[in-house]
Amino acid sequence: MTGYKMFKKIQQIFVVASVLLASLNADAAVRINLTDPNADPLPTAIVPFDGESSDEQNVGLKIRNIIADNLHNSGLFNVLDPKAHLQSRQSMRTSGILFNEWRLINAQAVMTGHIVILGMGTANPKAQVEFKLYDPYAERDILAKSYTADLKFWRHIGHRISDDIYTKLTGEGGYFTSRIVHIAEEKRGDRKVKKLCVMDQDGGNYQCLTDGNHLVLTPRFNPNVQKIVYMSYANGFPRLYLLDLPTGKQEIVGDFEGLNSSPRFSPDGKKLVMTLTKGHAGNPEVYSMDIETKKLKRLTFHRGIDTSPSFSPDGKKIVFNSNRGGKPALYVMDADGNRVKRLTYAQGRHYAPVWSPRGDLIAFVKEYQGRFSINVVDPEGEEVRQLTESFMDESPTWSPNGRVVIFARQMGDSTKLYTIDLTGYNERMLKTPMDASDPAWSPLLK
Amino acid sequence: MRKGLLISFFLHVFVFFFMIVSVPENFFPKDQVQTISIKLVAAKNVKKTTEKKAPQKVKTQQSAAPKEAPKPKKKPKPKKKPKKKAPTVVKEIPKKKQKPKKTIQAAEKEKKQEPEKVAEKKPEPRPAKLDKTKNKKNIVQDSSKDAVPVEDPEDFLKALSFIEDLKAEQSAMFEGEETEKTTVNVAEQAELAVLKKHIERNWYKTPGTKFTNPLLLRLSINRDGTLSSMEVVESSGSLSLDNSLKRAVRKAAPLPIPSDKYDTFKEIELYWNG
Repeated sequence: MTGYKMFKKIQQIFVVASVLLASLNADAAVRINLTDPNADPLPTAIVPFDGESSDEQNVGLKIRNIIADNLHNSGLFNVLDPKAHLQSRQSMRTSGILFNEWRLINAQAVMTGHIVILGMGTANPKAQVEFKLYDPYAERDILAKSYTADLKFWRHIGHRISDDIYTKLTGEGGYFTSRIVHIAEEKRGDRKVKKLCVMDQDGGNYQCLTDGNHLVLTPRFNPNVQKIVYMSYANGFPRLYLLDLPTGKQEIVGDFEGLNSSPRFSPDGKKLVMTLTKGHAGNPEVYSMDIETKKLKRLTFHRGIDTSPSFSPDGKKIVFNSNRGGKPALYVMDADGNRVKRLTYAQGRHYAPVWSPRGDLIAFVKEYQGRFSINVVDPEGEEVRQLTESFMDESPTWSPNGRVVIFARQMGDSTKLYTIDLTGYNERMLKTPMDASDPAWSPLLK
Repeated sequence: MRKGLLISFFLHVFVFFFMIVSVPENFFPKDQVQTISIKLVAAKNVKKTTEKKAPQKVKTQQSAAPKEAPKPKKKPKPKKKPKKKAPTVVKEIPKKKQKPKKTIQAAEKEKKQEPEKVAEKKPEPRPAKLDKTKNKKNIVQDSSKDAVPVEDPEDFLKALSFIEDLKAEQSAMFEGEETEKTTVNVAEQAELAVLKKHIERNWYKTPGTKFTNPLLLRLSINRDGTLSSMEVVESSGSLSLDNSLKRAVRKAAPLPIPSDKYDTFKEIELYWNG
């Protein structure tokens, strides 16, 4: 470097430095760099829905409790005990909401509402529920909505309102109006039978779809929650079946030779990806199939085991599991099978990838030194983060908003479903009537 | 290459010169002065210093208490004593016009204190000292003219009088800052930290939410710390995140702002970048 160049360089540095100094002086306002906000759950008041009759008030209280439980279980809200509410129902009726009373109990948001039951006593009574969400500090309402539905769907109304509040306050899509399909393990005498069951995300509306006479595995919802694809040994061989929920009609996806496993829908619901061993000496490869035309397309071509494909939410990429590098790891390829790229290099063996509906993370199972954990990795493979660990954690699946992972955990001889926030906090068990495994979360119900 | 080396050598010399000579004055000007003075408070030290300066006189005072009539003339001098101990302070005082007044006030305070303590030792001399208070102006003038070693028995007290001076100076300094409107200095950093903590504690932020941009919120504060106005200068891209910070500010109000530094804190920008 010549002296002149060096001089120029130093001059540049001085110019930059002086500009920086000048910019510091130029700003008259004092700037505070916030770094450490309060990460406690948001204190929120959910007031029981008011109604004229006691029936209406009862339903109003039940819906309120659905909302309170949903928000509380998300781990992001601290739903205040109604006993702590300072403003009484009477006062609310006469003078409306008094923001000061809610600020006193530190409520960051207050929901109040009203319920009317139309056609009470008739065969098909309807519930008309309206609610408002207030910001007691800004002293105004930030959300107002009303729902009318058959009274028997009161739980659904509660979930809808939960989603509205959740979305308004967190800025993320809700996930409460959704269902979870899983494999229930029922004890019949000495043995366990596996049944295909669905429930609301909070465990409500529990319903089993198969009788348990055949082994069933890996159920998955399609995007509009009308179909479930799963693997069954119904005719003695591992085959994939498509169950139409409204009609209960069941059809075989394709009677391919060998093992048919790990199916998943594409984000548009028109295609299935799956693992087949058809025609290559028992070596599992990833295939995609058009559901309409039943046309198959092979996506992977490798001696190693390729399995567990999962689409990215934009449908352009597929993450899958392969041992082509020596041990099972995650790989990403284009939806047509081109440009295969290894995603994970971390220690241990990596299985069961599933792409988040938000697109920013891929959840998978890691086995390392005999312990299993649920991990997430970004689609570039740059950062792996561990969310859970236990003797046996498996089958992760995402909530519709990509915020919560549900997985199966085996403890002793029982398996239960657990949820965990993607921040790694708020791990909780989801209560199910029977042991449960292999969960799959549906997209948000329309 | 040689040229480059030469240039870099001179630049280094220049930078170090700049660092050593001008940086401390520019960036840490007045606070250091305050901290030095605190050391002098210990009573033992005060005794020692006075003994060194006028050891014989102190003794004579103790032995010959009646010599109180001459004191009034000499009293002005003690004020310089403190100035000697913290000479830098003295240099700065003349810059600001307000300070002379404050030293006078300080002088008053000294005199108010003196009588009490003297009373314990020698109740009689009081009247003489009361006379001194009347001569305030003269005293100040005298002090500026000449500096003579101290003779009085009240040396302790006068040695301590510099504290009053410093207090006066401090307040004068802050007044000066208001008009200058400089960037935040070290003392204000502490107050900013308190403010930051206060707002953060009140900010319930949903962890792990996605946002696209750094958030910048600008606040205008009233003199009593309440909120005058609030404006999202740069949105985070998430309305609920923006709103959560607004809610935090409303909840945090009135903000803990030192009333004597209102001009520094009347405009605040809150910045969040994950």
